Amino acid sequence: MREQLTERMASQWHPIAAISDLHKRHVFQTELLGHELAVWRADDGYVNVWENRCLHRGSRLSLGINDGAELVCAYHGWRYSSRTAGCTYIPAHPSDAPAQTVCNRVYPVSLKYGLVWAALDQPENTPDIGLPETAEPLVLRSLLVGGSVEAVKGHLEIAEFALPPRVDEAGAEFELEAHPSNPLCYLNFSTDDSVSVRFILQPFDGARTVVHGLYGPALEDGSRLPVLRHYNTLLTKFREAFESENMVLAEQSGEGFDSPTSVGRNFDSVVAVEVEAEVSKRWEVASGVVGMELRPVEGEFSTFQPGAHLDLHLPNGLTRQYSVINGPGEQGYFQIGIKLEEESRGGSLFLHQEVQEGDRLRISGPHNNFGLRRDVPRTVLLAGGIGVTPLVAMAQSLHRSDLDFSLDYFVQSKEHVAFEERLDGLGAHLQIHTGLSPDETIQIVKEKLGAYDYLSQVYCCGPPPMISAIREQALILGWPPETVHYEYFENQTVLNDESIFQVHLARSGLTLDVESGRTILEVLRENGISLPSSCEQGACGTCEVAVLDGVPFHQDVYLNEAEHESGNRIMTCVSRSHSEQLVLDI
Amino acid sequence: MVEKRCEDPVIRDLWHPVAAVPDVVDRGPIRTQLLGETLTVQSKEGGDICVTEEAVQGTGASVDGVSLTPTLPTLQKFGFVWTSLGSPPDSLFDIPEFQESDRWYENSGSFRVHTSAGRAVENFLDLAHFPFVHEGYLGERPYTEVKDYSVATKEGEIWANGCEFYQPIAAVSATEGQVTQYSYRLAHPFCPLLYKTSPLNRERFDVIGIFVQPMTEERACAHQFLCLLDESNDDATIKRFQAVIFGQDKPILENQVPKRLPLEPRAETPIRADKTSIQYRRWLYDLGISYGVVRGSSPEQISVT
Repeated sequence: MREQLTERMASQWHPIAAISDLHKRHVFQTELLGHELAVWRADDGYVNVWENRCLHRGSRLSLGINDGAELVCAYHGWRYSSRTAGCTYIPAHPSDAPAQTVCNRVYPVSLKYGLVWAALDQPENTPDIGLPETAEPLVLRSLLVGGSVEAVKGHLEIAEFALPPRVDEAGAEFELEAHPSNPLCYLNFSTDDSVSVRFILQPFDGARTVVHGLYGPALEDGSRLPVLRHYNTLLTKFREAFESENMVLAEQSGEGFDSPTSVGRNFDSVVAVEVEAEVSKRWEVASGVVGMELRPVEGEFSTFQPGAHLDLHLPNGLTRQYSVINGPGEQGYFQIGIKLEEESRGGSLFLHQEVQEGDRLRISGPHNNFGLRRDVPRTVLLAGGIGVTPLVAMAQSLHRSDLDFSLDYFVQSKEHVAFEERLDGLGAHLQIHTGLSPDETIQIVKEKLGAYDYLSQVYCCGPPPMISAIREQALILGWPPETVHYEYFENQTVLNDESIFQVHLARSGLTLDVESGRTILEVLRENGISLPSSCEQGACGTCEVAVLDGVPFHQDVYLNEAEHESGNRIMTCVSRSHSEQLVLDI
Repeated sequence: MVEKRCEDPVIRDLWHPVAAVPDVVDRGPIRTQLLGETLTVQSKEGGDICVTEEAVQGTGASVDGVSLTPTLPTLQKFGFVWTSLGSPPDSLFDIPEFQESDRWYENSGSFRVHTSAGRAVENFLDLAHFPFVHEGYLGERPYTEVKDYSVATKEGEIWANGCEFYQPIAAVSATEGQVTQYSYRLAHPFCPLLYKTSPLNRERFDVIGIFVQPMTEERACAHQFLCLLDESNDDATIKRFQAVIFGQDKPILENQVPKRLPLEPRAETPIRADKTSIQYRRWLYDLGISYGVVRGSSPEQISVT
């Protein structure tokens, strides 16, 4: 019986806070059916309802910092993006992009009638308490009552509440009626229906319940206070009467519902598959550059990090890569910039000529080979032409942090400046240089870099001759190569054939090639073999597979030396092979 | 809340610290908890210290008003009183530096924390939190990288070597920021030690450690000690420094969910920087410890389906 009720309540909307509880940059903490929640509003208004627990070491996220776009865990500074709860940055490993599996649990959320509603499992409908969609009732002060939701229900059913002063029938007491379709909502009407009050119960945990109240119709500023006072008094009296009768002790809280002990993530493969995206916006960004905004046709896009790119799989068979220009926390869509290449072989030409708003494209990613380190006090960003796109994302991210940075953007002319509206926000960090010769450009680069000071790094992206010149200058000025990060706008990865090896799968009989730059795990997934994984860093042991033959080249930290030596197990996310072939027990 | 009796034979057989010797001598009997049992630690005539288990109601006999309660095995080492609820080994691990004559040794405080002993130990082994939890002391943003280090098992102990971290004030005696070199040593499941570059002599190491007393499954007491080459600082300054550091960790430790340490590797998400903690959790699992932890399914049982 209890189980059934719990199960039913799990897939039902419950109010968990008043929207006005979510102050700017605050993290609100509450519970629903014994699950701790961290609730926070991003600066763009999006309300996030997450499990209140960082998946790394179990720290409550409500201790963390809401920076307006991301939530930063207090223990190790891991950053999680608004909307997806995907990890965007792990400070202990500044050069690694976190795996897509590193994602906290998010709960369904709905904002309605001034309240934040959430559910453990996705409900089929929207929150229903018999109010018109557009109603804007007065949100009463919520009250935590020390009793289970069933016990509180039992008392509300026999309670009689008076209507507030100034309502015609003031003083008369009215019974509460349960809402016909929502057993956790109680109604209180005046006889003439001019006033309706709703009390909605939030099952906090097995021994605590929050009573939320809504009063309609909406009231003028001056007349709210007496109504709020009236109901605060009524509910406080209700709580006192209830608790003195129930003698429920605070220590018993938590009983009745199982507290979640696992993080509740899906450890099965999060494969970077192709998804369908719709072109929701298309606009002229600059001379010869088209901007596109892509939104997922279904579900949500994966979490991106500054510097990440998307693969666009065009109907003509070509695949093209474009950097995501979004700022931190901008997760519902991706924006990219496409320059019409003079010698287009059908990629940019197709996108410019054939693709319109409302069209659909297949995309995969985001991938990140150009991750932004944030463990250096000063970052110099150098952009040439359309190479500005990944640096736009980086600049927006740095602008939100305490780190110093500058963006120098070299373009042919003012008409070629792309994404001006985003760049404008950077203020004095941005300098645009137009119409410079290569020599003049390098002169500015030299001044910008200066002699290496042990406190700086540089990221550059643009035409290959420009990148080569910057790298050369940096070397002359004493910058160590590991501080000079670059991405050629034309991305041509050369495969190193020497590190190719084969995996033979003993159970399915498949033999697969693992090329340089690919992992065994990736190759297995591409061939339809689903393997659970979690950290994808060789640290958690989730993607372990038994080795039947061959010599593994271990690169994990999960197995100990003896296990490495025995060579009979391998972490497929990072380890490779010394022998030409590995035989795996899958 | 009634604590259920600890049935874990492995943890019952270990030596556990229960009090600092000077506290017992100067302040008289100390009542404390170990594995859910209430103990009294008191000094006897002749300088010995005895630990008795509080009689379970109704079972303790008394003679002339003095209750006869079981006396537990006791030893004194590193300035602390150690005891065991089971059959402990003959001796406790050694810290060779403890014998060096030019060192200054101090019990720098016993701090209670509302979490499991395992969580407290793991926090002590963790480098990555320095710039976030101990900013301005043991770490400073943006210097957040944890460089690769090595972890090895040596004679039944876990050692992590070659750890490096940039620290603005590594110790009281530090006058400027330094890249501090660390080695960690797990000499006992609840006794992590760290060896770090001395600000006074970069060739030698200061030894700092905590001996964690599992009071209940979800409460612990961390007894700190320092074995330093530092001569210039007085007692109070060093104690205050250690208290500040622990005070920064305490709210973090008390807000980890669950409080018991999960041993199942998939229960949380470790990264390469957590190498020591990965091996620590596997060690506790292999030792068969079940008290104060969430064992989950065996790491070996996670199979590919």
